[in-house]
This record gives sequence, C-alpha cells and structure tokens, in this order.
Amino acid sequence: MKLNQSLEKNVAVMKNLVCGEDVIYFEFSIKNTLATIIYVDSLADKVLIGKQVITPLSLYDKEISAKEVLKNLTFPEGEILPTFEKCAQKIVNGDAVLLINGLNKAISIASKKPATRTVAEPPTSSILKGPREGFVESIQTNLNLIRQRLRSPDLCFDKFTVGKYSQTTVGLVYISSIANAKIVETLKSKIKNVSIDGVIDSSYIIKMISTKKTSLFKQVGTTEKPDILAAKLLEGRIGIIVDGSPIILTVPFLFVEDFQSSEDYYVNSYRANLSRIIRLGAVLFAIYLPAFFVAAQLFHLQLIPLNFLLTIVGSIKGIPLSPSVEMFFTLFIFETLNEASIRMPRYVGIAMSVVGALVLGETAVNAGIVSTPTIMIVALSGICIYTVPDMTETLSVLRLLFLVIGGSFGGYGIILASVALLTYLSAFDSFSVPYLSPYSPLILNDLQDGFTIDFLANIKKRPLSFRSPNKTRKGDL
Amino acid sequence: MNKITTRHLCIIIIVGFTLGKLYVLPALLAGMVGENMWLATIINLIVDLLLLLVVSYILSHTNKNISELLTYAFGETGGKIVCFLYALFFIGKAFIPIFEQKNTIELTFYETQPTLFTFMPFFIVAFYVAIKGLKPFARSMEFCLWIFIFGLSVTTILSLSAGKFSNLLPLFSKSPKQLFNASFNSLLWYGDPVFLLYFIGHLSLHKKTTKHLMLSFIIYGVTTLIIFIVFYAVFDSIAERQYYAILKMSKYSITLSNIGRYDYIAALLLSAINVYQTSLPLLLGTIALNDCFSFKNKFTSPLIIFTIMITLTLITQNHFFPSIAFTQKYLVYFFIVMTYVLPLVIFLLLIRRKNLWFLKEQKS
Repeated sequence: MKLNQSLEKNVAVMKNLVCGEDVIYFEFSIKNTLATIIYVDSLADKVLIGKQVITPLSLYDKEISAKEVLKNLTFPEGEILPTFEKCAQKIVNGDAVLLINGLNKAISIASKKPATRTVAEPPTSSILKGPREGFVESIQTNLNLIRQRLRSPDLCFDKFTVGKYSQTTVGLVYISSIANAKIVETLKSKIKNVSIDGVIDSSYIIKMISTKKTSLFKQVGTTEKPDILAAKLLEGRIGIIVDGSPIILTVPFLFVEDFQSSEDYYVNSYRANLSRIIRLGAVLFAIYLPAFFVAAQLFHLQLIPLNFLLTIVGSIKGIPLSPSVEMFFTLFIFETLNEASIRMPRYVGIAMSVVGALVLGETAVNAGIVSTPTIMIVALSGICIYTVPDMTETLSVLRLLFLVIGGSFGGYGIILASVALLTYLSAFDSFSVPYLSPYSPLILNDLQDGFTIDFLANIKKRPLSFRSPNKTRKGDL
Repeated sequence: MNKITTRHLCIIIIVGFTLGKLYVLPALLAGMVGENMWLATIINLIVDLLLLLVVSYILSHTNKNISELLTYAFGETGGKIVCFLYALFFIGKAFIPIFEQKNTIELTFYETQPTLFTFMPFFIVAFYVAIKGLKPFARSMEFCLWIFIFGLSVTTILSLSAGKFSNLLPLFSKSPKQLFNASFNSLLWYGDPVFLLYFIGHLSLHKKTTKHLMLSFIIYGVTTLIIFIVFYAVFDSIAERQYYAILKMSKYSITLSNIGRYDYIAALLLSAINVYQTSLPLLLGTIALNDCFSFKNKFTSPLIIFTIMITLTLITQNHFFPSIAFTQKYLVYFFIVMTYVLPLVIFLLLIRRKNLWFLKEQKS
C-alpha cells in the first residue's frame, strides 16, 4: 500500500501495521513542516537518531523533498521507501523511518544498534596455538572479522532474508575467483527457496539445505572461528552466515574435515600428523570397541589373548547380566551422566562427576552388577568420542547401533554393518563433491590434507575435489 | 570425479578377482593336481587374460552400455534374451562366493553357533549395495584396496613362518592332461573379466586403460599364485582338506600362541571385502534383469534376484559340494558360453558388420 501525503493518515496506518509499546513515534518539525520519526526503542540507537537526524533536520532550511532530505543526512545507509509494508519491515529490522507531512515517500535510516557480546575465544574450539577470536551473534561483527583476514576485493557477500516472521539475514560469503560458481548458484537457489516461519539459529539452515535431510551424518561444516573460515574460503568453500548465530556454516563438507583441527596448521607437521592419526584411531575405538568386546565375549573368544581372557573371566564371574546387557547398562549410565552434566548448572557439575564416576562406578563394580573391563571399555570409548567434538552426536548413535549388531550377530554382523555404512557414505555427495573424497574417489593431490597432513610449504594446490577455477594456492617457495 | 574410472576397474580386478580365489579353490586344486596347482592356475589365468583383452577392447571402443551393445549385436528381442541369460548367469556366479562366505563365517567365526541366522544379514547388506548401484560400489572398492593389502599381508606374512617350500617339488609332476582337467574343473571360479562388461557406459576412461587393466590383471595373477604357493607350502599333502584357505594358512604361526588370534582381525577385514566381491554379481544380475524387463520401480529387479538367491541358498545350504559337482557337470557349458563365448561373439559381430566405426563415432 502506497504512502499518502498526509502525515496524520500515514502515522495512523503505521500504528496499525507495527504494534508494540516499544515503538516510538517522535514528532518534530522541519522548516515548520511536521515530521514523525518511528523506531523500535529496543533496537534502534536513540542517541544516534537524536544527534544525526533530528538535530540537523531541525536546522534544515532547504526545499522539502525526500531526495533533498536524504542528501542532508550524515547517514551512509538511507533509502527512500514508497510503501507502508517496506516501512514496517525497516522498523522491525531496527532502522528508523522518517515521515514528513506533504511527502508521499518515507526515508529509512540505518540506525540499528545490535546487541552483541564482545569477541572472545569460543568454548567449543579451544586451542593452545593460534588465533583466539571467535564469531559472535552479530552478522556485521562476523563480517568484519572475516574481512580483517581476507582483504581481497574478490571476497563476496550475498545477502538474503529468510523466515516469514523472523526475517533473518542470511549471508553467503565466498571468494569469487576461488569458489566454484556452480556450487555458489546451487546454494543461492537453495537459500532462496527456504520456506520457514523463523530462522532462530544457523542449524535451521543446515536442515534446510542438506541434500539428505534424515541423514545421521553431517552434510554442512560448522565453525566458530574466523581463522578456520578464512582458511576454508581459501580452499574454495562457501560460508553461510546467519544473523543471530555465532556458528558459521561451510559447504561443501567432507567426512575428513571433522578430523582436522585449526591447530594442525599452526603446530609442527609431525605433531599434527600424530594428532590426526590419534583422532582417527580414537573414533574407530569409540565406535567399535564396545561392540567388538561384546561380540568377542559372546561369539569369538579366540580373538581375545589368553591372559586378557583370564582377567575377563575372573571379573565377570558372578555378574548377573549378559555381556551385551551389561554393556548397554553401563553405556546408558554414561550417556545419562553426560546428558545431565550438560544440562545442569555448573556448580552441581563437580558433585555430579564425583557421584557418577566414583560412587556409581565403584559401587556398581563392588556390588557385582557390572565388571571392571566393561567400565574400562565404556570409559575409554567415552573419552575417545570427544577427540573429535564435532562428531560426538553421530558417533554416540553409531556406537549404540554397532553394539546392538555386535551383540546380536557377532563380528560378522559388525563387518556387514560397516560395509553398509561404507556403501552409504560412498554414495553420498555434498554439493556434487564426493563425501569421502579424497579417499574415495582417490584424489592424490588432496591427500596432502586428509587424515594426515603434508608440510604446509608443500601444499601448492587447492583441493581438487571442489573443482575451483583457481587451483594454484601458491608458487614455489 | 563423479564417474567410474579406469582406476576403479583396476581395483576391482586386483581386489575382487583375487579374493574370489582364496577360499575353496586352493583346496580343490590341491586335491586335483597337488603340488602343481599353481600350473593349473596359470592356464586359467592365461585364458582370463585373453578374455580381459577382448573386454578391454570393447570397453575402450564404445560408450554404449551393455544392453545397447547386445541389442545392437542380436536385435531387440535377441538382446533382451541375452540380458535375461546374463541375469541367470550372475545368480549362478554369485552362488559359489556366497556359499564360500557362508561356510567360512559359520565354520570359522562361529564355531560354537553354526546357524544360518548369522549369515542371513549378508543378503540385506548385499541388497543395499545392489540398489545403490555401480558408482558407490566402485568408490567403496577404493577403500577396500587398503584393507585388502593389510589383510592379505598379515595373513601371508604369518603363514610364511609355517611354510616349507620344498613341498612344491617336483615342479612338473603332473601330465598336461591332468593340468588341463584341473583347469577345466576350476573354470567356475574364473571368467571374472566378464563383469567389466557391465561397467561400459558408466566409465570415464583414458588412453592407457587397456595397459592399466592388463597390469592390474598381472598383479592379481601374481598375488593369487603367491597365495596358492604359500598355501601348499604350509599344508603339503593335507592341503586338499583345508577349505577356506585364507583363514587356515596363518593359523599355525607361532607368534599367535602368545598374543591371541589377531590373524582373525585380518580375516574379518578380508571378509568385509568379500561382502563386496560377493555382492558384485548380484548387483550386475540386478542390472541385467532390469535391462531385460525395464522395471519402473528400482526395487523390483533386486527383489527378484535376491528372492531367487535366498531361496537357492536355503535349499542347498547343506549341499554345497554336491551343488558344485552338479554345476560342474551340467552347467559348466552355460558358464563357458556366457563368460567366454558371448563377449567374443559381441566383439566379432561388431567387427564383421564393419560397424565398429559407428561406436567410435558415438564415442567422439
């Protein structure tokens, strides 16, 4: 609906469109003409509006037209709005809208005051060496952090508004000369087609753009650190920034990514390789150890070395539960403790650890409900799962699944489940990039930064799996 | 990147072809020609090498899939009939590896609980592999290569300590006739290059495809021969009773008595690859049946193939060796026709009709 020339009528319509006690309608006069500035008290910067809009306009003495008024404002982001709907949209976004009597157009002023916390080290990506900055909830601050690291004119930022009611700003960030244009276009169309009431966090976008929406496996990468995002953009990936979320998404996503920590690039290569191999081994341990332990006890006793077998026999004597039920019971307790420790207040956490680890564990063994090797295996598996924090959700489900299969069908069942899993992952593509690359299909160049890492000086090309138009990362040193 | 490449085919040859020979075949050959089993194997390998040459020639000269090639060579109806025959052939081709695997699992891994129940999930997984198609299969095989190298190395190295290579002497104790008979009787385990025909049309090949395929075949041949030689060196005259060779070979290594049967881990890993190797003919059977009837639902063809296969497994579950004897007596010629004759006929027909240019043109 178009604006009228009458200020009174315009204000009346706006009052119907934008409701709320915190919406301020401030009246003042410009060269003896009445004007009203409308803004949301909790979103807009009142001081700025007062100093840079109301004060200069009170002294305004030129012709009153939307263009002229806009020119005389010292705000870089101003816009002339013809309709009530656009005005309402700007107001709820945090901007101020200026209505002047006799003008059938409004002027929007970008006076949004984002409520944001200071840049700090993210709790999920603590490192010993390397930058400690983390993203925050404000998209502007996040963009600033990225641009500080990538001062290139090729760094592009495309903005979209997603969510019928939330009207959340979602941004695509990529380096135009490196990112694959087809993937950028696919992503743009996916984001444009998102139809949802509100985007509360970036995780909503993950669910919307994922190809296999019911998959257990991650299809979109996440990071809270600008240095990681910058490195990923330089490899040819595309970042997705969601206003209100400190977690930035990256696509395409490869399975191997979660095994790579930003610290690997800052420390000695030998240490980085050792860390990555430990992570891989730990993940395999976390999934397979409980399942194989149960399968070995039930079906393949010959797999267990004799001395260890004697220890197990000694410890399980008198245990009333079968190996699989015993393992289930212990895992259930572990998962419950884990769930409780995340949800409960921090000050109770220490007491919880004492109760969980010492009282429950010790008592359960002494009471003869569970055996010591089972406790040890669950604890080991539990520790191993956290070596790759981004995979914990997937791994904990897989661990249970493999345990059920191992307890029911033994080692061969575990093997079959692994084959099915491998086939599933092999058939998986993330934005046309094979999920298991660079291992399947084997891309020799990309092996430089896979489950192991080459010396940084030797990595001369970007990952070929992303089909970047600019393959060379650097020349000879 | 998103197509099946020469590398995938090479891995299938090295991993899949080799593993299929390492279970029952060594014991059967040892029973027929004793210490000269490796000579009989060489005869089979040479025949298969020639077949691979024919197949790789067809592979590198057309981008038509096998169904289109068969229609082109035998006409619409003839092509469909041949497709159907190939579906039956692949069911037959899957029979031996499935039983080898089933018996291996039941007799080796589940000594205390020999039950079909432990093996039946195989069909669920194989069905899943079949509906996923050729690309995921080929990609998975890339991972299998590393597992295969690890598993086979552990088994072979552990077996070496128990091997006595003088058991293989004298080198030429059996007559050529005995050797050819042994080769003929083990034909059911060979002819694997015919599988590659079903990859035509899904491939992204390069100029050196034939060379690479030949090199892979040589690696497969040499690996198979080494395993057979080590096997006979370990077991000598009792080799003919050592079915499931790959699992038995390392059993007597002295290192195992101290630290537990960790060779089982290698065996379990090899059985994982064996699942793929066994699923391949079922996957190809699914494609062949679909080529014949053009089902609209992607599950129809695998459902038919797997129903037949499971029924066959249940009926013959306690009659593996009589079933092999029956096949060797009555069905071997069908196998020969489908494995060796038909690819040759396709190849010759294409040349005789002087239509090979057509295929080349299509490719360009």
